[in-house]
Amino acid sequence: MKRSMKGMAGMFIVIIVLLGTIAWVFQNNVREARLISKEAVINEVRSNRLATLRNVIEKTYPSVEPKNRAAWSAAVQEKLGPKYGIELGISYGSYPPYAVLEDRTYGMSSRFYLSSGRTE
Amino acid sequence: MQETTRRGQALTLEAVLALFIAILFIYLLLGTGTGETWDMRLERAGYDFVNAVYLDDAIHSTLVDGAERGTYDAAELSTVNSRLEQYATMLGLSRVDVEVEGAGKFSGIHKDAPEPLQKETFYALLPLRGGEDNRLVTVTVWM
Repeated sequence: MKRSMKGMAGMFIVIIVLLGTIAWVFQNNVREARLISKEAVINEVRSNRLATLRNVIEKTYPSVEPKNRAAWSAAVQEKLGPKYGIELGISYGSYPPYAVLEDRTYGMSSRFYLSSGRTE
Repeated sequence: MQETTRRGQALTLEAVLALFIAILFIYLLLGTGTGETWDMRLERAGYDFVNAVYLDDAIHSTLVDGAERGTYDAAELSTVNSRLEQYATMLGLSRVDVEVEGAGKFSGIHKDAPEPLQKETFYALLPLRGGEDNRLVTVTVWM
């Protein structure tokens, strides 16, 4: 009786150790998969925000008169950019002018030419 | 002496066993982790709605006219709110809030939607008088 009890206790210990090891390995794999998945989602969200900001710039530029382009650029850089956490610059040195958007936190950027704006 | 040694060994084994059981329980109960999710529908809806601010003439012209005057009248509020409600329904949102800097606020609520649990905020710019004045537009989408 005592030997069988010892044997059962030993088996119980082995089973618990095995279950603990399996649970530990399983949780590590699940955690790693979740982290990868979360990183992919964050990248998609930041990419969407970059695209949204680019869309706003592309939609508003054509309605701005040439004399007000400095004010519009300042509003875009000082009001909009910080809200999205994106640094942006607009260059009028070339024709057509182009904009550069940079999300330094996530290493994303977007460069594009602005469509021909108003001429008067 | 042998009896003491055996008791010590038994106690050590029991402690190890208790440790493994504790680890097992902790992983099973807490190892699933918090289920923080990001609803991409909100992201897509936000993009679509910011687009609508510029492409929907009813919304855009009303926002610009009222902002240039400095305030929105009841008819303008009603027009924009009903358009926002249509967009909220179309995009599967519970609610859409739009605030024009220094001018006013609008809300469109999807009446049949459940209580919103998540929200995301997007920003647009409203050039007035040819870009002389540029107002920040805050768009909040709820789902």
